Amino acid sequence: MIERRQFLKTIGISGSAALLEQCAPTPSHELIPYLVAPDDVVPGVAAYYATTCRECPAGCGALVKTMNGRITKAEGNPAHPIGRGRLCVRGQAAVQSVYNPDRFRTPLLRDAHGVFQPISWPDAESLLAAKLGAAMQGGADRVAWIGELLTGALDTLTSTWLAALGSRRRLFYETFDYEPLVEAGAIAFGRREVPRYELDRAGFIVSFGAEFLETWLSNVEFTGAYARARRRQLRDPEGTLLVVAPRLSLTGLNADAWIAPRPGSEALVALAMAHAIVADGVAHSSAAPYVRGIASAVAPYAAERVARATDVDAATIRRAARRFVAARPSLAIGGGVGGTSDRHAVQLELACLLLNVLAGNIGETIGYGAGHAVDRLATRNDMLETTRTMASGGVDVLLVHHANPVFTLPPAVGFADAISRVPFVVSFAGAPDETTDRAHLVLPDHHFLESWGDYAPRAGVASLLQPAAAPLFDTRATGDVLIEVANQITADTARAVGRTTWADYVRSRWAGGAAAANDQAAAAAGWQDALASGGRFEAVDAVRPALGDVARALAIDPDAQEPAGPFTFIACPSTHFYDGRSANESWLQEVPDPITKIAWGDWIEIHPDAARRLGIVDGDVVRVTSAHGRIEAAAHLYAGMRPDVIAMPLGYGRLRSSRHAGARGSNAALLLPPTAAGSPHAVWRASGVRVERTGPRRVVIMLQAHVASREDAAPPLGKIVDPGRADAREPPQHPPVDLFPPHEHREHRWGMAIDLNSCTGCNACVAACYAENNIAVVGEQFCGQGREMSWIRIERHAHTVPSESSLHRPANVFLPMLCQQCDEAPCESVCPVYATYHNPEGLNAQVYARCIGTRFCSNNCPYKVRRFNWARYGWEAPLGEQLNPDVTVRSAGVMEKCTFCVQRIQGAKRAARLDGHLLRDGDIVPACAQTCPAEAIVFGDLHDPESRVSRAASDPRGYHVLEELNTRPAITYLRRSVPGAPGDER
Amino acid sequence: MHVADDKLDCELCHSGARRSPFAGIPPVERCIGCHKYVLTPHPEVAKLRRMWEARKPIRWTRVYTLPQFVRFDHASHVLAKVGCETCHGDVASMDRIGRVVEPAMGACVRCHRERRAPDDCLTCHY
Repeated sequence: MIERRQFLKTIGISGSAALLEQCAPTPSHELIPYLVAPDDVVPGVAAYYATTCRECPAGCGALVKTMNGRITKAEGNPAHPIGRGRLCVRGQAAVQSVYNPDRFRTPLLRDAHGVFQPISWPDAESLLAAKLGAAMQGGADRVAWIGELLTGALDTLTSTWLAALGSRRRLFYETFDYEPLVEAGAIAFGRREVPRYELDRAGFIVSFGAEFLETWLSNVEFTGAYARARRRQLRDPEGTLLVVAPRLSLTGLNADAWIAPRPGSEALVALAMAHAIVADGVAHSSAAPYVRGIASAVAPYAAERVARATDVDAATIRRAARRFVAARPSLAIGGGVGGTSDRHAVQLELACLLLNVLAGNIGETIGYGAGHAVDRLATRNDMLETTRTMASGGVDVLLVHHANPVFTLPPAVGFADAISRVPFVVSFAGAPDETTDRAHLVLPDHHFLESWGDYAPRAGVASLLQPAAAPLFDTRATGDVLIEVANQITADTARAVGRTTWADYVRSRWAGGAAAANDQAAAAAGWQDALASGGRFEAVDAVRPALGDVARALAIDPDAQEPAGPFTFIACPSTHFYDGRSANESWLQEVPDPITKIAWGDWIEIHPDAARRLGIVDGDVVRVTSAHGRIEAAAHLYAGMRPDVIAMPLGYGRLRSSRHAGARGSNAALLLPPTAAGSPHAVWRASGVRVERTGPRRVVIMLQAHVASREDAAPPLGKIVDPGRADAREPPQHPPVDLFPPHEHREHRWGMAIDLNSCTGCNACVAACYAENNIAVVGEQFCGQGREMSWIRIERHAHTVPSESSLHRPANVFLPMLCQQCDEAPCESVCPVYATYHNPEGLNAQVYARCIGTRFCSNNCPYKVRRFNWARYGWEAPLGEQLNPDVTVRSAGVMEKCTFCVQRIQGAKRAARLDGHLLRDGDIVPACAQTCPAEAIVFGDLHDPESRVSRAASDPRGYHVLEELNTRPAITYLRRSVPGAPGDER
Repeated sequence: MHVADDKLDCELCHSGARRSPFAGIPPVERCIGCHKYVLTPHPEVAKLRRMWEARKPIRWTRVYTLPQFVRFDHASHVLAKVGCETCHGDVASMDRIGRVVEPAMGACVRCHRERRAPDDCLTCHY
């Protein structure tokens, strides 16, 4: 006989089971196993694949995390010399582009009405073969290739392929080239290459506008190196970085000192510094053979002489020069993109090389021998020439490979018009852009995370690409397409290219020496090693080149000023979008710009003094007119530049209807000339620009409204400290008063230390957190209401340190703010349902299932780090495939916040248990700490006195944010060393 | 039958139990490994072999399931020598698996407290 209780229970269970079936589809109603399980997939355990990030030419190594065959997260590859285990904000957001809803899903052919129609791969390839065959009949060089920078296997294949078609027209096109730097190397040292920079060995760095912390050359590598240099130089009263540029980029905001010369006169400042060094006779001994030659070359550029043209007083230039030599090995880095590209770009680079010679830096912090892949980039002149050829009908078939020149080249170049004269345009792009808008045939390549390949940013770093997941859509590796097509055109092209698969082609080329020597075992072992480690990395001997005669190349008029009035316009590379390529990634739109904290839209930066003169306030729509175009955008007042400069980020004003990038903002490149006046180089500036108010205003979404630090903030609790006082510990001002008994943390107490001296504000941690923790993108409107969901945000605090004539102190602090996991949390005591409480290991726990959404907790939080789900935010398919299965996806009405990546804490504990050892310091790495290129975030057990975090927590620079509220956070911040910071008056 | 008669270890097929949060369902390849030869006349085995030949994976009906806001880690429990039958019942006595043990939170917490495992919410709810 069945017991009544049991009977009711059984009824209840089967009843609710039936109900469950009728409710929202439970995903786990069925369990479907593999037919044949792949070797490397254990359900529930992640598999990592080593590959290379291709978001920019830096070529950082990446380890891509996959769960059950889906890409969920990208991390840096610790074994890789570029990046050293870290990725920047664009690298972290790259996982979104794999699941970009706008990706091409099949090959497409434009029909008679100009509409793209799907076409099968065999049909597409035979069509292309036919077109190429016809082009070949027309003579040599009728086929042109414009594509991203390639090295290794695809470089070889495309070169062979084009040669078989009788064409030498192949351009590696990157929006930002390094031509002036390469040319300067050729003039000075006979080496046409980008030098290798080792910032961490420098005692003092002078950057003439190079944005090396954001977008210039290799930002992850340089950020790590710069942070190491800063940590070493902590107590140096002069600081580590001087930026000489008319506008402060993010790199500039991180500088200890700033000189703001007139736009176009940066080269004169560098030459004047060189002049001061030789005049004072303080050049390094290694420069002795060259001093006489340099002295005569820089003779016209005395500091007093150039003071008027540069608007920088002589004393400041001399001071900088003296410091540059005294702190050797130092490093002078030349011009960047937005800052200093103009007709004197080569002279500026030459002057920097001279400075490095004079201080004995060659072979220490700057060296030649390794080169860089960017040495082979097309120059602006190359692009102009090809544009002219296309416009005059000289190209029958144009193939575009992962490049978007219709958008990224300034319209003044005329590329958009020229491409419409090409009878057949083929694009291998993975997603729609302005150039595919002009294409006739689209043959979508796999995403780089789905691809085989290789990329060597410099000699000694052969970086491998391997697929982290099977291709999501019906795309095909461009290598496979080229091989297939070559085998269809003629017998000769078939023979020249051969018949193989792209994957085999990569592998056979990779084996290199071992395969050539017929040592199959060594080749196979080498391949396996490369797959495991992400490439083959070797040291490359540096060369010691002799300095040649540079006098003739230097010739600049020391009195010349750019035709400035009234404004000079600077188009800046975007930290998030680079040149606009990643503008469709919604994380990058929602995470605010590091400098202005503006999200989901563009802006024009105007200096407050200039704005006052013109009657412009924040949000006014202004019109900017140059000789080449005109744009309108909302004004944003920015004090980090000269009053005669206005600036705007590139990457907005995309024409494509990609859902996030399209129809948003204006394209800054519209204002730019095709080249610098009187020079063949690209220029990202326009002089003689007019600005006027138009009348209407626009809503600008700023996620941090106020940047200037309170003037009356008492120094002991502030974020900055003078280098001379970096060793002085400030006791907390208020004695601790406890309302509740203290928490007992028996085993571990998790804590964090964030070094504000290292943090550059780059937002890599924010993007990593979005990827790891399934953080929803709320969109423009909700952002405007302050409802963004980011668990960690970077606050920018601009302190005021008085300038000394032409030498300014940016004194900016970038402060990552996240849940402080307070020991005395104001949020815990006000939750009516115990959904948030203090866990035995020191975490402030948030249990989503209990939360009923009163929001009292976020009301009480003084740091405002709790985020509420005001709506049910979604993930447009297939973006939901990126979600991390280890983290719950929150629904509407639930509070969420940083958990110190509790899933990683639990995962590490499980791994330690399974491996049979105790948790060690460094076993648990939250997503933010893992990716930070500056290594600013450290996580660990505060109960372990030997742990890195414990040591940092007892650092004299350490303090807690809002210490006076007695919340007892688990996060210790270390003050930033700022020369000239106000001291403690007590 | 696999358990009682053939004395097969649970983990022979549910191999994730020792190393993953999910015990896992064996790939069909594993079933066929034996049933290519074993008990082939049986109608269920014949069904299995037909599915294997047709390259169709078996769609098992899930019996033991937890709500989405609970994260259960098999590996830790296997390591702690918690017998599979504690939560899945006496599988040896069942011809067809049934849901005889209710995975209610009270049972989890009770066992955790008895065996001094963490009873902190964040252990399973995060």
